[in-house]
Amino acid sequence: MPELDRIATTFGAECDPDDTLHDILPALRAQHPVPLVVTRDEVVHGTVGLEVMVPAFGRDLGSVTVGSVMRRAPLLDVGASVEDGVLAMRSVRGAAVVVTESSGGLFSRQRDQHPVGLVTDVQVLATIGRNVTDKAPMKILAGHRDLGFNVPVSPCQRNCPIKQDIATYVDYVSQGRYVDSWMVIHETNPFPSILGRLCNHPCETDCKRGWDPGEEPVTIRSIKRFSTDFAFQQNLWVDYKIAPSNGRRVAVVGAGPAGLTCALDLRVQGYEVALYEREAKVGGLLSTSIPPFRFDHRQLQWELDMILATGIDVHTGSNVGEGENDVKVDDLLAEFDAVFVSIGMMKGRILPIPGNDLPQVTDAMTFLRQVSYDRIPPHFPVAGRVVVVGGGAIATDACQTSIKLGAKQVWMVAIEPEDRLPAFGNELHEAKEIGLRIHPGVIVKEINADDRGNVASVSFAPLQPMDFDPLSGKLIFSSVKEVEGAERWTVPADLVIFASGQIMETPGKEVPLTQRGLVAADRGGHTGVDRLFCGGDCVQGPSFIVDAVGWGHRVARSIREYLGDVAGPGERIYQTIVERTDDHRQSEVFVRTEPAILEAARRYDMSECELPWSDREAIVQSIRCFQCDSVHHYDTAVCVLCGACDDVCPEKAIDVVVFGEDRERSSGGETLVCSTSGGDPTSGGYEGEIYINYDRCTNCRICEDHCPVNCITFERVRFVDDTMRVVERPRVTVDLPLVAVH
Amino acid sequence: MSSTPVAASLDPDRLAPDAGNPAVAGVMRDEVVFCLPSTPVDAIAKLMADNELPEIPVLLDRRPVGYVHQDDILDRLVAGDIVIGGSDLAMRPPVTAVQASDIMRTPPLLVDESQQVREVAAVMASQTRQVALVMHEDETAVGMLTARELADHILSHPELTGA
Repeated sequence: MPELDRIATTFGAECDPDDTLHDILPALRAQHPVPLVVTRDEVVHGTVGLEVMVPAFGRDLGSVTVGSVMRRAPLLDVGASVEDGVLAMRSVRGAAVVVTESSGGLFSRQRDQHPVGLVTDVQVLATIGRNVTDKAPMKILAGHRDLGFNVPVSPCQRNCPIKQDIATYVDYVSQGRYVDSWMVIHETNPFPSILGRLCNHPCETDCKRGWDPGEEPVTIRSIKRFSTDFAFQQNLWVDYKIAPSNGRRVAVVGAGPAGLTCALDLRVQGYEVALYEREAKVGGLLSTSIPPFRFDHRQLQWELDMILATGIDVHTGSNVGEGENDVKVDDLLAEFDAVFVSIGMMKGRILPIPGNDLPQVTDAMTFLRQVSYDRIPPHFPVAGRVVVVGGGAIATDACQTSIKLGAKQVWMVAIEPEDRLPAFGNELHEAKEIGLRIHPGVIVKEINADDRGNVASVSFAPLQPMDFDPLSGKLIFSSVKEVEGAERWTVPADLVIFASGQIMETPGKEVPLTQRGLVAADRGGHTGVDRLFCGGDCVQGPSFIVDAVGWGHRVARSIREYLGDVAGPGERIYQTIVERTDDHRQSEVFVRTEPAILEAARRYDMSECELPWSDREAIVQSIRCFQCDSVHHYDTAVCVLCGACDDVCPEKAIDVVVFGEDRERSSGGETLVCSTSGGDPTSGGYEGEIYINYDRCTNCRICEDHCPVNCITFERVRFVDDTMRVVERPRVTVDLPLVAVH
Repeated sequence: MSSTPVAASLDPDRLAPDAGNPAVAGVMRDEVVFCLPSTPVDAIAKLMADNELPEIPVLLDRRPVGYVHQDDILDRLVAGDIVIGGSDLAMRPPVTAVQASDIMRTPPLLVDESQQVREVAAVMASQTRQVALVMHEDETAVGMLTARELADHILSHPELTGA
C-alpha cells in the first residue's frame, strides 16, 4: 500500500483567507488542477481550487473572499497510506490533505509536525489510473470535428442513419472473415439482406475513396449483400442473448422495419414486446410492397425469423385503429408501459380526376401487396395494356411487376422530365430493357371509360418546363403548369395504377397529427402523449428503409430512457476490441464495380435481378476501402520525434512538433497521437507531440514503412456487445401462416 | 468629444451586445471526455486526472446516460474495492472490478450549445455540478463546460471580474 510521501507534491502558490477570488484567479488558473494553499501566520487553513468559479461566475469576484469558499485540508503524516489520506480528505469534504513530517529525529522528544507537501484528489486519481494500459477507454470525442473515439468516425459511418461500422465489416470481407463481417453488420442492422440490395447507401455518397477526382466510392452496399449471402448459404443464425425480464411491457404497432427494429432492441434488453400487425405476415413494406425480383424473399424470412425467435409476441391480422373490430390505441396505452406506433404510409393515393372510380383503377401499394401474396391482382390484363401514373421507385416496381405478370404494353407516365424522374436510374434502365415505355412531362387529366364502364384510355396534358429545388433535386410543385391550348395525349389502357404518393391511415384520435397529416413526434419518437411513441414513415413521410431502421433504434432508446431503464440490468455489456489492421494499398489498381444484372431475356419472371458476387469480386472491392477507422498508434517509448513520418506523408496529414524547434504545422490536424519526451531539451534531449489530420489521411501506411525506429502501427478500436452469437440455423423456425388476402 | 480611441470603439467584442455572456459553444472545451458503462474505474480515474475533470460523462451508444463523480471513486478506494498496487515493470493485474455502471449517477447535466454561458453556470451552481455536457441539436455531445473554461472566459473578459 503506497504512502502519501510517494505522491505528495510541494506547495504551490499560497493565499490568505481575506484575499478575494479576483486577487487569486490568475494564480488559481495557472496552477490548476493543484489548489492554492490558504495560510495565515504559517498555519494551513485549507485549500481553494478552481471549482469555486462555478458558483461565483457572474458575481463580483472582488466581493468573494477565499475564507468563505475554501475547503478544509486535514494534516496527515507522510507515512500514512494513500487510502488513509483519502479517508481524511473525504471526512471533511476537502480536496487535499496536507502532508506533515516530524521535525525531530526518530528518537527525538521534539515531535512537532510541520507541513511539507500536499496530496490532492487529482493526484490520488492519477495514482489509481497509473497502470491503465488499455487505451480504448481513453478516447475523446472531438467536438464538431468528429464524432469518433479519438479516431474520427469514418465518413461512411457518419453518414449512415444507423451508424453501421462499415470500415470494419468491409475490412473483414477483405480478410475472408465473412461471418465476422456479417456479425458486425448485424450489430445495428437486422435487415442486411434487404439493405445490401435496396439501401439508398448514403455511406457511398460520403466515402473518402470518392473524394478525389476520378475516383469512385467503395461498393459498400454490395459488400454487405455478399456477407449476408454467405451467411445464408452457410445456414447460419444470430442467436440473441436475451436479458432477464425486467417486467416492462411494450406494444409495437406495425411490423415494418422501424417496428421490428424497435421490438428487437427492446426484447434483447429484457422487455416483453407485443407486436401488432394488420397484415397476415410481418415485414411491413418489405414483405408487401417490394416485389420478389428485387431481393431474395427467403433471406428476408430468415431475418424475420431471427427477430421473432427472440420471443416477441406477434399478433398478425390485428389492425390498430378506430374500427369496430380494431385494437384501440387507448386500450394499448392502458395495458402497456409504452406503445410505439410505426404504421408507415401504406395506403396508396389515387388522384381526384374524372374516372378514378372505375373498377380497373388501383393504386400501386394495393397492387404490389396483392402480388406479394402470390395473387394476380383483380382486373389485371394479361396480354393487355397498363398505365402507371408516377415516376418514383414504387412506380418502377409496379411497371416491372406488370411486365413480369404478362402485360403486353406498360407505360410509365410522369410529370418530371425523364432525366429528373425520382426513380433510381439503374431500375429505370432495367425496366426499359424489358419493354417499359416512358412518357415524361405530362400530367394525368382524365380516365376514359368505354360503353361498358371499363377503363379504355387515359388522357394527359403536356406541361411547361418546371423548376427543381437545387439542393434536394425535388420538383417544386408550384412550378408545374400546363401548356395552354395544347393537345392532350391519350393512351389506350386496360388497367391504371396510381403510384402518386402514399397516405397514412390514422390509428386513433390519441395520436397527434401535423398539418401534413403525419404523426407529430420528434426525432426520438416522443409525441407529448404519455407513454405514446411514434416513428418511421408515419412521422417523417415516405423515406428509405435504412431511415426506418434508424427510427426503430432511436425510439427503442427513447422508450428505455422514458421508463428509466437505460442503465438498468438489461444493459448491454460492451467489450473493447483493439486490433491491428493491415494495409490496403493495392487498392489503387482496382476500380469500382457493381453486381451484374440478370440478362434481359431472363428477367421476364420474378427471379432476382441482381446477381451475387463471387469471393474474388467481393474481396477486390473491399480492398478498395481506405479503412478510415484505423488510427496511428505510436509507441511513445520508441518514437524519437525524427519527423520522418511527417516528411514522407503524401497527403501532408502528419505534423511532428518538437518543442524548441521551428517546425511548421501545416496539416490542420488536431488529433494528438503521440506525446513523448527523450530527456531534457536543453541538454540534447527532445520533447514534442505528433498530430494527424484524419480528413487527409488515407491509411497508405507509408509513414509506417519509413519510420526508422519502427514505432508506428495501425489499430482499430471497437466497442462490441455480448448479445449476439452465431449458431447453426435451427430446423424449426417461427412459422407464420399465410392467410387469404383481404 | 469622446476620448475612446476609434480602434477600441470598433473592437467587435465591445460592440457585441453582451460579449461577456456568449453562447456556451463559444466558451466550452471543444472535446468530450467520456467513458462507457463498462469502463473500469481505474481508467476513469486516469481520464479525470489527465483531463482535469471531477466528473466524467457516461455515454451509451454515444448518448449521455449519466456521469461518474470522482468522490465515488475515492469512496471505493477507501472501501477497498480499488487496489493501488503493482509497478510499471510488473505484470499488471486488474486493480478493480468496479465499473462505471456500478457508481454512475444520473442524470447527466446536458445543455444546448446555444444557451448563454451565464445561464449554464447558474444551472451548474444550483445543481452543484462541475461539468456540463454541451449538446448539438439535442443529439450529439460536442463539448464540455467546466470551471476551467469559466475561469478562462473571465480572464479574457476583465470586466467580468467585477473589478
